[in-house]
Amino acid sequence: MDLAPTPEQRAYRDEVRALLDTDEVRAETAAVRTRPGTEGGLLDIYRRLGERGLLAPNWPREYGGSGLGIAEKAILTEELIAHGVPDIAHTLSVDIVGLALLLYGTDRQKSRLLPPIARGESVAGVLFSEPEAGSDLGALRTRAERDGDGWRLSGRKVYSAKTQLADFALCAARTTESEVPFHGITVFLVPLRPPGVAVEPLWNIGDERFNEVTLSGIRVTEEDVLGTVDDGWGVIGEILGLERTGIEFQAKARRWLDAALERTGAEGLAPAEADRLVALDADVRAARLLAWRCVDDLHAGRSDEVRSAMAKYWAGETGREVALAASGAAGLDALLAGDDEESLGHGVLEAACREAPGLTLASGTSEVMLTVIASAGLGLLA
Amino acid sequence: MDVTLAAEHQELREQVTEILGDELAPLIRRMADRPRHGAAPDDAEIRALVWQALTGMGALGLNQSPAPGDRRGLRGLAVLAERLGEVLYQGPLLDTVLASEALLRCAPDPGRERLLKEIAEGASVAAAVRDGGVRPYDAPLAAGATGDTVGAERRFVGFAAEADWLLVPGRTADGVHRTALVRRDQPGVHLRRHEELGRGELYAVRLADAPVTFWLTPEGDAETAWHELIASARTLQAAYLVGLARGALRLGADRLKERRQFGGALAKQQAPAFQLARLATRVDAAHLLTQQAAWEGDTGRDHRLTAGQALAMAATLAQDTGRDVLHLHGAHGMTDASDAQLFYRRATVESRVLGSPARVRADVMPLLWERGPAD
Ligand SMILES: Cc1cc2nc3c(=O)[nH]c(=O)nc-3n(C[C@H](O)[C@H](O)[C@H](O)COP(=O)(O)OP(=O)(O)OC[C@H]3O[C@@H](n4cnc5c(N)ncnc54)[C@H](O)[C@@H]3O)c2cc1C
Repeated sequence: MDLAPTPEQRAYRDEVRALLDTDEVRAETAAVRTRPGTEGGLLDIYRRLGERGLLAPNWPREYGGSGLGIAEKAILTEELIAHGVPDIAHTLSVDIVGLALLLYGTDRQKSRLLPPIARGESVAGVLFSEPEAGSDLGALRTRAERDGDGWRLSGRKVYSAKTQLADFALCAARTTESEVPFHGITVFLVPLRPPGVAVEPLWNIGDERFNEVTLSGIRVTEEDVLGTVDDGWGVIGEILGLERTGIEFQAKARRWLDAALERTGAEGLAPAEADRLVALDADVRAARLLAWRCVDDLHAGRSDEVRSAMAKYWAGETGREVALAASGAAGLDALLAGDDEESLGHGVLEAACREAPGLTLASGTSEVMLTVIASAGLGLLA
Repeated sequence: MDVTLAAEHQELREQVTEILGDELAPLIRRMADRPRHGAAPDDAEIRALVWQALTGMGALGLNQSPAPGDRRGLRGLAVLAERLGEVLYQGPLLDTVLASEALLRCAPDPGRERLLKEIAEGASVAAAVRDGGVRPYDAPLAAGATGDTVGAERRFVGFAAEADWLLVPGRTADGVHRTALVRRDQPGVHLRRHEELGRGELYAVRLADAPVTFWLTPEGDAETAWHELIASARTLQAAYLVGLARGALRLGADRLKERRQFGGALAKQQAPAFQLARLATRVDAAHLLTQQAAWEGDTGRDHRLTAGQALAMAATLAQDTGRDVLHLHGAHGMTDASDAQLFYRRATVESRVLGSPARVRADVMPLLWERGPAD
């Protein structure tokens, strides 16, 4: 076990930090945090990272990346979050959609869609969840009806992040009715700008809005299929599994805990609060180790669904707990929002309390993770 | 030992439940919530209606017993507070009854009687107690040289903009505890609404040489009276939080019955059902401990330890219930359209306004070793 980063990884982190530790980035981040409703999308900082090939560091150079490894990608995520840069556009576009394209995309799809994302000029979204299909994604009802050499998509997708800014999204739809569970689903690359696609906000407590996306017969072709027709379930499982390292969740927990530690100091805390913070710090450190174990697995070409479920479960639960406990220890002022003139650190802990409930729901709920650990890990629930 | 509510409190509970009934509950929940997106609903009418209904049923006089020194009202108030929490009522009611509680502890005086009468007739009071840090009590207070003005900075003062009076306790530079009653519409009273997690009616209050109508001088030892008042405040807040948890729990149970995944209602899954069953047990436990604190207060026993324990228990419970019920709603629970996020946000704020559970426990900890044997 060698927990030290390689010299290259350290150099990469330093490079990213140098880019993020600037007044411009601080100003841009603060602007997003102090004005509710102005969520970060195509941030300048994304473009600046993109210009240097740092936004999608693990992508091949031909698609705008730097040909680096998965560890550098994890480092970037940690640093974006540590610097308070909204990361969801990055996570969705680079980590989920980008990964899906790299794994399953045709050369044409990759060269058309990846470079604008890597340059920080385009965002991509994910249209999986539906009103009646959340944890039970296999129950999705969005239909792809055959139409000549293509399909027409109709259905309602909910809770998608960033689709109001995105050019296209991965969309899971039913191409074939089938008795076999999970068979007959196909993943499409759906353009979001044309007529036939309506994107409406579903406002929520967080800084990042959800959208309801209604597809009214929008036409797609073979060109827009990702992977194989009717075999989309495997695509979804693979990309969600590979993306699931918990890295972003532990990085958030770290940021929030550090904000509270900075605010409280060791003096003046009730002993029980101090005790709680020490325990939570240990939990966050363990979350980081669990996350980096998954990163190492991916680097070595392994992927272990139980380990990644553990990493996501632990980091999600810890992050949510940190938001509540850290803001509790820091006093009532910690609940002042970024747009209150007296807020602490642009309302970082208040925003944490609003973001926290999503940590145990997004990217696979805690219960879905426990199901994987119990069944695949322990042979239970059979 | 009879742990059920006395007949008069049962009756009161029924009366309050009728006034703040299930049809009205969804409207009351949204009272005073200012959404981050879109215009705030104009709820002045429903707010006035609820206030009238509560004062009309005598809520503000519950602790004003005709017999001097007889304070039988805390149990009744706790019953009321619990229902207020259950429907997520936001308003100056609990602060107002605490102000009358504080006045009742003062020596009889024409000024005091006038104020008590005004309160019983519907005047409202906002308690301006906290600073923004971690200690909710003992914020500094400066009495003017002539003694008829006060200077102080307070935060998280609920409904300051619409209350008739501000109750301002604090500690002067020479360490003396004093409490002033100030008319809100006086010069020298400055208010600013907080932008905060609950998005409710919480204000920063700055008093700069604000005229004091009445200095509250408790009968007997001022420190003891202050601590007893804190215990009463904790009891009522505990009751409010127990109610909040109960309301959230109901919302969660309804959601599990409605929401279908994996071919059936989520209510059929043991994991979420057990989660709510555990919380339901904690709600009953915290309810009884809160009632015990109120009973101790009403019967002249020292209720400081029980009140602190009940508040810490109820605060932790309310936070946990708000968090878990939101989670069990899935992403829908995070949307503005869902009341689950409302319970969660309010639970987070309300469970801290009288100090975090850890601090409240630390505060009452020495009393654990002074406690006599149980009755
Ligand atoms: C911040 C955030 C961002 C998101 N972004 C996107 C996006 O970009 N695109 C997209 O398609 N979706 C997105 N989602 C939606 C997300 O994928 C869903 O929230 C998730 O799949 C759960 O579905 P649900 O919310 O409908 O909850 P439900 O399935 O209704 O579940 C409700 C609760 O019950 C629990 N539960 C369900 N079944 C069981 C069971 N059998 N046993 C025990 N417990 C159970 C769940 O864990 C959950 O706590 C996002 C969600 C969040 C919070």
